[in-house]
Amino acid sequence: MAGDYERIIAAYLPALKRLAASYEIQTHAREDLLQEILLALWKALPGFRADCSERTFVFRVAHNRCLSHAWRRARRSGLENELPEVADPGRGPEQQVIDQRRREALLDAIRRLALPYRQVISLVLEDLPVAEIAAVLGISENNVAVRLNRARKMLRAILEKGLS
Amino acid sequence: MMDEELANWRSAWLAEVDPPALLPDIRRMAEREKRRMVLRLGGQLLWSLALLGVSAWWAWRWRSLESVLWAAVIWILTFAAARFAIRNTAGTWRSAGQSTAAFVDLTRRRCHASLRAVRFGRRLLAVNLAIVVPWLSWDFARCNLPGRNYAIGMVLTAVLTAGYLIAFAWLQRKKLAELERLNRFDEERGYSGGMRY
Repeated sequence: MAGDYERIIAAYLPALKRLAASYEIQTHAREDLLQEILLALWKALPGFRADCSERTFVFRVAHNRCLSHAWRRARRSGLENELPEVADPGRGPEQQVIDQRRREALLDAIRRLALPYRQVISLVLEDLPVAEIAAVLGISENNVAVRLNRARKMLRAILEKGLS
Repeated sequence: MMDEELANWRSAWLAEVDPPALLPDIRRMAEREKRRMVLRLGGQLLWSLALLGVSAWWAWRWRSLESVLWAAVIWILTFAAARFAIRNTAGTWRSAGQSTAAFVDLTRRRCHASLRAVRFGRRLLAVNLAIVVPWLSWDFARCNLPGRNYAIGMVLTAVLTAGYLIAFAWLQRKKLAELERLNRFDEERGYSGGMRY
């Protein structure tokens, strides 16, 4: 099992980090959430019966962990009180700073989406097909399409508002 | 599905600008969590066994009607609580599937189980009070219990009751808030009651 776990983590760690970043602004909170996801995967792995793809399994566990994290966090504090970490413009080449700003703007917009839309858009951005997103979330493909449509509209509006 | 807007978002999403994460020792964390769970369950079991053992020993030691009655009450209430706990948590250990819908459903069942436990706890507390307070007072009235011990017993009962009531209220509020969040989540995702696993 340990071998499987290490292989899965090596394959999906970047995606899991991105997922954690779409829920948490602060670095330490992201790391805590990532740790929770990794622990949940470790515990869930023995129950994986290959009735879905490994990727679907990993995203199911990760998204469920993120949901409980978001609910617990909502109980503790409001999102509004947190200050985003601003990239240090002097720490790297110009392109890196631009990339980071674009990414932070996108992440910030995604974090503002309601959880069901946030889930769909993050899975779409990970390049999962609609059928697999439906399997991860336990909803119909039509529902995925509807949510994606709404999520895109909202995301676009937030980003445009941010730019203006 | 892919278009320029999504492609731009995806390239921003996939841009790796975070430093590589330091991976925690998950195995050790899992072991620590398992140890905590075993300790918690073991502690509850030990507490129940201690209650049963001490009351049985007390009844055997004094062999009076009163001590046997005390022991019987403790045994009955302990078994009633254990039976409730087992029945109440049935079906809340694991979900019927791993999808988000199944997870939300499981979380909701756990919330309802906690709320049922709170209701049961309040009733059990009421039963306990209905037995303990008259019993102590009766003992005191018959001069079997010194005034100081009676006072200590009543104060202890009051403090424990207040503690339990505060804990029940806190847990109830927490679980109701969790249910509200789940309902809001269902509304946001347009949940219509059907679920695919």
